[in-house]
Amino acid sequence: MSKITKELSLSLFLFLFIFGCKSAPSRPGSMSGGGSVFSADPSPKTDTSDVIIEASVTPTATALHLKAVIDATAFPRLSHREWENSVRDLLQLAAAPGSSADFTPDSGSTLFANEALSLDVSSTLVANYATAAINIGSKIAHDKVLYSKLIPASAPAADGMPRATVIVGPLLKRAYRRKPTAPEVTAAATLFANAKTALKSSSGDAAGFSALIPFLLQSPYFLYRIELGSSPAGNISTLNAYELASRLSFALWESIPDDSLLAAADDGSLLKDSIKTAQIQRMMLSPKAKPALEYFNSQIFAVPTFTTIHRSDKKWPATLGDAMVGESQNFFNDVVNTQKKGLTELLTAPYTFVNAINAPFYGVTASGTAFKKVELDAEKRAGVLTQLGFLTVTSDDTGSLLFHRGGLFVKDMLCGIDLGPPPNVTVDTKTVYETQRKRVEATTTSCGGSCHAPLINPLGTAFENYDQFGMWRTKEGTATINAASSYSFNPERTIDFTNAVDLMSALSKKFEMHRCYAVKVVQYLYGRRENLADTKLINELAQASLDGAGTRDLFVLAAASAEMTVRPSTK
Amino acid sequence: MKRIPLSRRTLLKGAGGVAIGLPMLEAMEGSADAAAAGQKKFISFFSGCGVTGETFFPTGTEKSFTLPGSVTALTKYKDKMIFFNGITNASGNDPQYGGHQGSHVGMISGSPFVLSADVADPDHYEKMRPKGISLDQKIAQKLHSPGNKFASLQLGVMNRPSGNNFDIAASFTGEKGLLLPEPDPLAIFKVIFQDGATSATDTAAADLAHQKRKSILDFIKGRYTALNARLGADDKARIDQHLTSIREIEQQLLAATSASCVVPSKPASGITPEKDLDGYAKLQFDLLAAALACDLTNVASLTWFGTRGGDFNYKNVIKGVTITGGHHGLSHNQGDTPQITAINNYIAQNITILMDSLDKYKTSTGGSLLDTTLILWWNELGFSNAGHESSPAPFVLAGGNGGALKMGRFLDYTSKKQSNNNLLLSVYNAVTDSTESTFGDPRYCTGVLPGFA
Repeated sequence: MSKITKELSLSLFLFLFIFGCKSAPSRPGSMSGGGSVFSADPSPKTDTSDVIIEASVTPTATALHLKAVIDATAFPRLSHREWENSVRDLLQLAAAPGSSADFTPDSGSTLFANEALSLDVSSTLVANYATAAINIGSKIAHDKVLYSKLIPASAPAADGMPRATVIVGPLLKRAYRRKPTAPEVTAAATLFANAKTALKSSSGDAAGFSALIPFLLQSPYFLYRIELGSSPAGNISTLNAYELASRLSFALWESIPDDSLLAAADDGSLLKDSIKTAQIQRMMLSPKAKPALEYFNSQIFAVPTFTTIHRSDKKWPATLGDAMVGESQNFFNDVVNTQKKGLTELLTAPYTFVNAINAPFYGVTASGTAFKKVELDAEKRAGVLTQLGFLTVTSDDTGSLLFHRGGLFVKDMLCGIDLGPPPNVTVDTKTVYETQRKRVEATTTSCGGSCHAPLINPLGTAFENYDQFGMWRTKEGTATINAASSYSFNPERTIDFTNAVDLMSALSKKFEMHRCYAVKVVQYLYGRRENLADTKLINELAQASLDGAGTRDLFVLAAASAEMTVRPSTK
Repeated sequence: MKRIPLSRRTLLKGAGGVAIGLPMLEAMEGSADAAAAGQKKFISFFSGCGVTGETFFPTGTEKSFTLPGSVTALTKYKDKMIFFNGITNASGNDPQYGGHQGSHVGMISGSPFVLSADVADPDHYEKMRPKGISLDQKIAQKLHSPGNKFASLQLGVMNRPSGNNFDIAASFTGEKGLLLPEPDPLAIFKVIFQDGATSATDTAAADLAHQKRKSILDFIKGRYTALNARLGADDKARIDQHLTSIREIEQQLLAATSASCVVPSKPASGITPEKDLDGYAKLQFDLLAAALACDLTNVASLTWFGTRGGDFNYKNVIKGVTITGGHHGLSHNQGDTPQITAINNYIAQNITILMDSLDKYKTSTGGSLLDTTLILWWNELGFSNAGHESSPAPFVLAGGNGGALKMGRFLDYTSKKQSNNNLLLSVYNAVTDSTESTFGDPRYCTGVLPGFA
């Protein structure tokens, strides 16, 4: 009889915090110190002349039915991922600067760290932004090759306002994601032009950029996705073309609109369905769409957690975490971008990607660090949840953790439950059981019965054929493993399964499985939690996914929907 | 150790015994006593999972009492502490939602929670949000000096929280004003001590850089002000907060360059509790003490793993008692008194280490920073057990109030229970030299604690 004496893990779910705003009350400032070093303060005292191009489209019946759409604020700040890409694209850098590694981390109640409600701005973050802005400005100002990219060919040769005006115009437009007003251009140009004398520099351009870039990167129109909207109809307003352009590019690229998208906003043509559709297709074909798609699936299937696994067993290679991440990335890319498939394939595919590090755990051989596609035994492996990452992150040195597998699956991927364990749980660590399944089923009958018996236990049980290394097994000690169970969506809809492979096949044909994926699409592309008004869209996405639509198709559908074009009216 | 320019302070000696000179500005000449008396400081020290009552609360009389197992580590500073019993968490005792969140909020703000509309799941107990303001933030409103760079600081000894949880921090100003602790010493060093930045060499270039930054910030402020004029109420609030933060940065840039303060050495990156909890905690305490000594702020909170104690497993850190699980799991099991006792005593020991860090900063009159700093050690819960009772609440005061509060006492209100509102009010009045008559939700406050002041 095998002894299993490890404790039940009560800390099933991640320990979480919300990040909030540091709301220091404003004090009368005793701000000594002279005026601007750039001579006359270029900031106009009363600048309320920001121009918003009025939407020329009245809300449609579809949009009107979305009155229930709930957003708490007119504009979130950029998430850190969006910030990185936006800085890269604005300043035409070869790669994102990476400064956000030092920022107060993003968080939120969804898996995607872009939930608008949670993207608060603490004073620590404002300080982070300031430091990053100064450093990036300084780095570019010291490198003529870098800043020359930002100077249009038509700029007049001599230093001064005319040159400055030509330089700042396009940068302001890209940074603000709209046409800057004349006063805004004049002010920024003054800042740029005066910098040479103010900073006692020999180069007008270097000085100008060292002042302009920190200004741009800390401006509210850069850091916040401002949506003031127009044409309110009851509770909702329709976005203007620039705001729609931003919505689309931050959803599909996690970055600012490019010049083509901005041009379609300049003349308002983006508000026409045909143009909008064409732009969405173009954006999905761009390489800039791939990181977003990868991030989406990686977050759902817990990929970043693979490198946090600590094992003492000598059998565990130190580089396996990275190998599992590489495996997942290659797998997602193949399914989503090469085959243009979606959830069903992700859940049932009998192949994966291996290199020398992870291959042995599948019982295959491979050499080198590059990943190659390998077909697996279809009786033993089906999709991402039978790949090493999920199986090992839900295990520890002592063995597989049934609760973790079932819990993580039902919470994050099936949207079956959203709660933590209840507070008053007594734990029996003394009785010995033959298998983990038996122990789990015996100890979760009374307390936690409502979550464990129908939801967590069956799903966790299905994966008992995989040990703590994700390797296939048919025995646990001397006992034969029984991974068969049944899972109920509700009393009338139960599926029976013999093991994980069988379970994946059954679940991939169920509406609820695809519906959860659809909810995630909405959460990610819209940067908020789903609500009642999203029901129609979610059901459309779910049905499409059930019918075989790929992840890319779902992104297109969600981006093209009416919800992307509206926001609540400002109070 | 690097020197950085900071605003004027009282005369202090750094850890190396080197006197740090200050120009005696005209305004200070007449107030030598005030300088010697020193600016008061306040630290809110928050740990979780409650206590085992029989091993936590002292026995004895007000002046002559014994410290049981959960707090024997505090014996070293017994004459600089005030212990309590008989304090109830009146506002945190909701029958349906008690437990960690409900009790937590009430414990340090004296106001019950509200159920936040922002949270999607209608039945989730994690919807609980503070309604009122935490003690440290209310104190910060009064204690904040013009020369401070920060209204308050929030540090943590914990793992960085991941994902999202609507549990709350030790410091908050209300439902939407949550101030999260920073657990990474390097991050703290970078923000609070500006990464050790110095203008000791090449003052002219540094001044120019400062001026440039300030001018750019001025310019940016104009943009935020202009935008603010066009916004609805909710969004105005967000922009106002951002503007305030920009002003704080400007304050830092404007700091006078004539004084200096000894900055701690730059910490390594990647420090976590699992690697070396003792060393990590001491590092945070040293940074906190330095921040107070350098007048970067007057108010701070220190979150020791936070709600549910981070479910941290102390097995590698506590000697003499076998720890069989995470802190939170243990707190549910009533048979684990020895373990909970050991854990709380370990935390108590760390509080003495924090006090040691403060004590290293001596004043010219022979006292130390510890004498002018009042620490309130509080817990989200009362009893640690399956029921998660929130009373009696295990508050402990440590340090000194600049001599204005008698320390070395045990105030036992068991026979005439006092709400924690009364305790919070008493501490508030003592630290800020006020005469307020209520704190938090007035329904639960009957006035200051009898015999406290």
